[in-house]
Amino acid sequence: MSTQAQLATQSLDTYQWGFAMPNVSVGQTPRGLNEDIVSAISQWKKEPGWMTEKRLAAYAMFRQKHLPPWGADLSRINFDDIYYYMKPVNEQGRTWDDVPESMKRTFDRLGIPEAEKKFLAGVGAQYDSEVIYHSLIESLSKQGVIFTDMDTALRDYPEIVKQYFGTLIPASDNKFAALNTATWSGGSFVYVPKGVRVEMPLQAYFRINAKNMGQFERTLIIAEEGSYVHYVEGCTAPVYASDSLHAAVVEIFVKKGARVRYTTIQNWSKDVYNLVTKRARVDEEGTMEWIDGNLGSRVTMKYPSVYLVGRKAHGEVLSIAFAGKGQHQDAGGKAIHNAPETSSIITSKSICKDGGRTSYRGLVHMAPSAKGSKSNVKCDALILDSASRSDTYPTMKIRAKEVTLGHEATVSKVGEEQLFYLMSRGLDEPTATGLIVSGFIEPIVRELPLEYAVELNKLIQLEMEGSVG
Amino acid sequence: MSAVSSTTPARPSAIHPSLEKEGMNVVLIDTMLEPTVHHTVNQGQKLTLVVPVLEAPDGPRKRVITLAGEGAEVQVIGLFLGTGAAQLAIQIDTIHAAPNTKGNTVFKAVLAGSSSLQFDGMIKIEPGAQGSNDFLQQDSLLLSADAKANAVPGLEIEANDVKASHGATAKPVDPEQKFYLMSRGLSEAQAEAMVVTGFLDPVLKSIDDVELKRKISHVLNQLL
Repeated sequence: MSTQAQLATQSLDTYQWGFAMPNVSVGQTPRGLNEDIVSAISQWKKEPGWMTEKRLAAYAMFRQKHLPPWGADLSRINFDDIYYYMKPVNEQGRTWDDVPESMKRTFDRLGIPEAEKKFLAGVGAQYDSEVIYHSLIESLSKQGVIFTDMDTALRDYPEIVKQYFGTLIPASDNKFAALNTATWSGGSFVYVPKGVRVEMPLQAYFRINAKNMGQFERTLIIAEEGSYVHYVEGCTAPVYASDSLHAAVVEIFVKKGARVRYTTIQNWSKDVYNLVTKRARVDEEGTMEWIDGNLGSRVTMKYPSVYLVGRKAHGEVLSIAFAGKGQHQDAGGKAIHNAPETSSIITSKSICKDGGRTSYRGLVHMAPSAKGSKSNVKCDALILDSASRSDTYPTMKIRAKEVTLGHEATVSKVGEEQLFYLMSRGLDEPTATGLIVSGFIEPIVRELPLEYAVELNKLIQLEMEGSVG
Repeated sequence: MSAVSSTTPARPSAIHPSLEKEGMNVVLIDTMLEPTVHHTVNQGQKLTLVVPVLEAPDGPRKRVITLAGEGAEVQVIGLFLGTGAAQLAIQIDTIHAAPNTKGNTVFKAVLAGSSSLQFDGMIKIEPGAQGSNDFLQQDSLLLSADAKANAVPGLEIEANDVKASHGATAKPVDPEQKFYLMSRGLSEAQAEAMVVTGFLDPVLKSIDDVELKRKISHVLNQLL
């Protein structure tokens, strides 16, 4: 990888007027970011001019914006030490031997097939599910559903992308949204026409090439009137990333009477900063559901939001976080009520152990136009040992009459009585604790597709091993 | 050693006179004259802090209670009756710095006119404060469309053998309750007054001071 960097730097040096258009053999930009690199990414991908301009404007905002003064400690991110673009087809030159032992063990314990393991670890360039993927795409396109990666979407459906891109999460929203807008690559594009119900969950995972695992993915989902789609992102197996920053942006448009469910189980390797902006706009009688699981990464800051802008729009956020040694999961949800009779439910469950820290951070806002709206927020946290920490930072803003808002949060340890009961039935302490933790997260796990639920439970048990109540 | 020591860094001369009393149980009525007051509760002692905000103070108010000795306890009972354009920004922090400490905060607000409440309540349990528990509840009853309520209850928990929780609600007068009372012959205003009184009841019940009770019901009558 370092030779590639040198190569790229050399080509940069030899081109006096800025960033050289690289030849095919150079698959990535040098470390760090500047205007030339931003333009080069855009030119590389042969993007229309308006996108190049958007990227450059976003880059300027990224330079101006400060890191958030609240939340997790981000001071260790070195923006100059990151590769911002890597050609997806590029062989990354990593071998199975480079994959950390702990990760291989986890793969084995989860029972992940050999080929898939290599894909997840970033050693295999492609995961061979092409056949399934193609038959899926065929049946979808008969219904008029578009499911592709964002780069292809920009090429093949520029007018749809232009209409929606960055309208819900403008680059000016926050530093990482700006960074993503400037450097985005990959991510999914989903368009569901009026009245169409997509029965099978769409899994980013099925999209074979490495594009879907990008650092700066950009996802756009548009569900037209009365349609339904369930999108599943990520997977429970750990994803080995050589780069330390993941800053994705996800924008979802839920039109009148439509319903979108978006499920994420994030299990990045434990050196990754996972800073993601996710937002959905929900029109009249539409429903948006975020199911958001955070297990991996060093730091996660992610607060999936619902903007309820049409009468009777409904939003839900189910959030689950697990923080072990050295991890800080700062997660939560936001509900912005901007129309009458809207409703939202935010449920958060978090577990910390071995010095890990979980924070719930959330917002419920009732604008003056939200007459007759309701919201309910419930956060429960489990602390498994005295070295760990759990925080709750909810914000409630009420500007409307006849709204009802409730918030509850509890922090506690594993109940001694429950533990005693299970141990009296012959379970050892770690197993009993694991069982109690599984029960604790059950309300969220049962919302997951079966294979994810199974894997998540296994993973939690794996994390629980060797822990004492 | 003083049972409960309190400091007001801004104007130290204005310490509430009742602080001079010593004892295991101290009841303080805080009329929000001082911007910031720190209370320290020592081993085995209990502080009851009554915060009746009947007219809005001239700026934000902050009260910090540190439970510094093992077994220290604090109970905070607060209410805000917001009329006209009254604004209250209040922060109440409870810091558990010793094992087996206990805290309980209840703050109820009735918001009429274009009054507003900004409530920040933090429960902090430091490492080593094992066996502690705390509960904070903030409820707002919204009587008008122009009233604003912001609540930011927080938890920062760094010990595992603890119980800490909070709850916050904001809602209008329940139309069903009102309907029930009106069906029994009360006028709408009477019914509403009764619901409001019922809402405040848990707080009113735990206030013993007769003079203060009289004042509260006077302001309440004006509000309704």
